[in-house]
Amino acid sequence: MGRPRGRGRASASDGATPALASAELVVIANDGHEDARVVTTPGVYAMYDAGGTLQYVGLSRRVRASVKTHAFEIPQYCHAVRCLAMPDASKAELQTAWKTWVMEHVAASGGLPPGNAPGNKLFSERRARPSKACVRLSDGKDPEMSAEALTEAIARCVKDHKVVAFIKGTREEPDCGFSHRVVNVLHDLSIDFDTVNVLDDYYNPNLLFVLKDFSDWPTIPQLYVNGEFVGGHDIVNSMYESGELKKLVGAA
Amino acid sequence: MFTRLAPAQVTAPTATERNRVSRGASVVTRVRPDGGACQETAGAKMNVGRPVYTAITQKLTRALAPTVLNVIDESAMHAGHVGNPSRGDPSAETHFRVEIVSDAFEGKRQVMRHRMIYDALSEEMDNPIHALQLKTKTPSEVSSA
Repeated sequence: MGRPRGRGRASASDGATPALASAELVVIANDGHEDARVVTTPGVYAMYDAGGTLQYVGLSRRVRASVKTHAFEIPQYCHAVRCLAMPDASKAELQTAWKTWVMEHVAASGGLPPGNAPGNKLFSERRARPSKACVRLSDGKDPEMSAEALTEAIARCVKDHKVVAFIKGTREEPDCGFSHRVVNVLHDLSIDFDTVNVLDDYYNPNLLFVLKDFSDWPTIPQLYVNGEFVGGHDIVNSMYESGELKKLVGAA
Repeated sequence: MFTRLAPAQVTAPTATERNRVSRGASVVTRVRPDGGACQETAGAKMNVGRPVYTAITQKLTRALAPTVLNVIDESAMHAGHVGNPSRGDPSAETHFRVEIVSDAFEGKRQVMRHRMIYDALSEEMDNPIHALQLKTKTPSEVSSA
């Protein structure tokens, strides 16, 4: 009996785990972890980097949540994912499916996925990150806050906070892959930084539009250090990779 | 990897290169023997049905006279993503990656370089581009890499 192509699905009754290669490869770079094809159920998943190399095979009671966490913490290894939904699986069945996928890769490549290698905690380790409330640009009492007033609030914000990122969502739950990455970078630098949620229409009404005029920059996220606009996602990432960002924020 | 094309290397696109003009492929802008960028790239001519891709290529060519211009349409990779304004429309052009080498970037920091691109594509940035990733270099930066 053929199984529908696409999202993998296994059941306890058939006793067989679909092949790793048969599961649909879903690109998750930049927001893709919320793709409906990344299942929310228990199951097994396989993470691939941008070069198509399998980095890790994991099992989870909530596949999408796990995928999102990985994508947030180590985006360089999480360009795409294959998922196998196993909504009714026991722990033993999950482990069996996980082992099947790992061994399939071992048979094909001669070695374990790097992230599954003994001693490699890149995927299994959960990084403790400080929680910090977003900066609010108003008290929420004026939903019709004028562009002029909001512009002044932005100016005060970037002046008063040495390192501040305007992002979509919060630092704990960014709503955008690009914002994810910038928050991730700032966390990796182990610095104190602030965030402003441009989608919070209660405390930051119309911020998304006014900010773009303020900075003459059409995209979100935007990073400011010492009151100066540093750049958006691509520039911040590039500066992080070159070490320039560390020097900049270190001087903040 | 950026590779500057010397005038002697300039050639007309081969049939194979023209066939690469498809979603997910990239097109390299060729430089005329006199060093000027062509007003229309092979990609532009091949993409009558890809108005955003064509506009990006043409506008950046006019504005920045690049020696290298790679415009990669990654829209298909994001077709099913929540928040993607295309709502699964397979023909939508919403996600692009642009790699560009131009003398116009000489002496300019990355912020200014990106602004130059955003200015050139201001119409497309308003709608329908949802995400635009940029990589900018000068010819001298490519040479020294």
